[in-house]
Amino acid sequence: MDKELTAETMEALTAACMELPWLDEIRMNVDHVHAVTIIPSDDVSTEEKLTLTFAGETALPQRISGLMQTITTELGFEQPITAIVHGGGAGYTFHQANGCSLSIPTDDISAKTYLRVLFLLKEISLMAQAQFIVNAK
Amino acid sequence: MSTNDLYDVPDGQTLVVLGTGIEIVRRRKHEPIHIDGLDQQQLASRTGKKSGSKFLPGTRLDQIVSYTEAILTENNAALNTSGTYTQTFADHVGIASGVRVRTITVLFDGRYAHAFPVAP
Repeated sequence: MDKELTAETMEALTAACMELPWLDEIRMNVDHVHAVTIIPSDDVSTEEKLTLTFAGETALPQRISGLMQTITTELGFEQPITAIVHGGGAGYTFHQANGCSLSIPTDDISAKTYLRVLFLLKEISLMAQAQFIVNAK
Repeated sequence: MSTNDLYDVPDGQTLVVLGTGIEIVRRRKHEPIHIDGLDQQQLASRTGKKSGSKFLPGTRLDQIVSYTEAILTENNAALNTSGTYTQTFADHVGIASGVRVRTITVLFDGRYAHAFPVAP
């Protein structure tokens, strides 16, 4: 996400975001990632969803926590995110520790922020899907 | 919580906490949609993986909770033990990728659970 968003990079990002896998749900347990559910790409699984749960500290949940922190910053939240839920299509709802929630897309955030967040969610789904592939071997 | 109150629960938040401590959460993307007037391609798109399979029109939120609880109970789901449970019914329960289906899957991550129709 270092490059400036232009019409071309936005188009490329949007196209990449349209392909599965997508994030379906993340649940946090205090400051740890408890579970990640994705909608896998068809070449990985025909299942509608796949869930990873994390009992102990491993590299993946820590990396996902880092991306969650970036999303928290991008959306201007003062409280940590406790859950992210896919609403269908390119819509997501973010729940914060103080009970507040935000659903995107919304006029309250810019298109640039929206795309950045979608890209971060995409990155999480790709990491989780890669873990499924490793686990399946 | 009354049936009407369930509809006040935000997407992704807890609808019901079972005696086991398991929380059944709301997932609006699997709730019924209006399908009148949709052609097959539109129906397939709106009930596909990206939009989410849907319970049949007319299915109430309390019925989705009942389905979820029944499947969790049938499988002896316990707190802190994740699982994916599937149950097939005699009648159609939902639409997945444009096809009417009789099967429901419950995803349970050890604390939170939600249900959605799937092709068998």
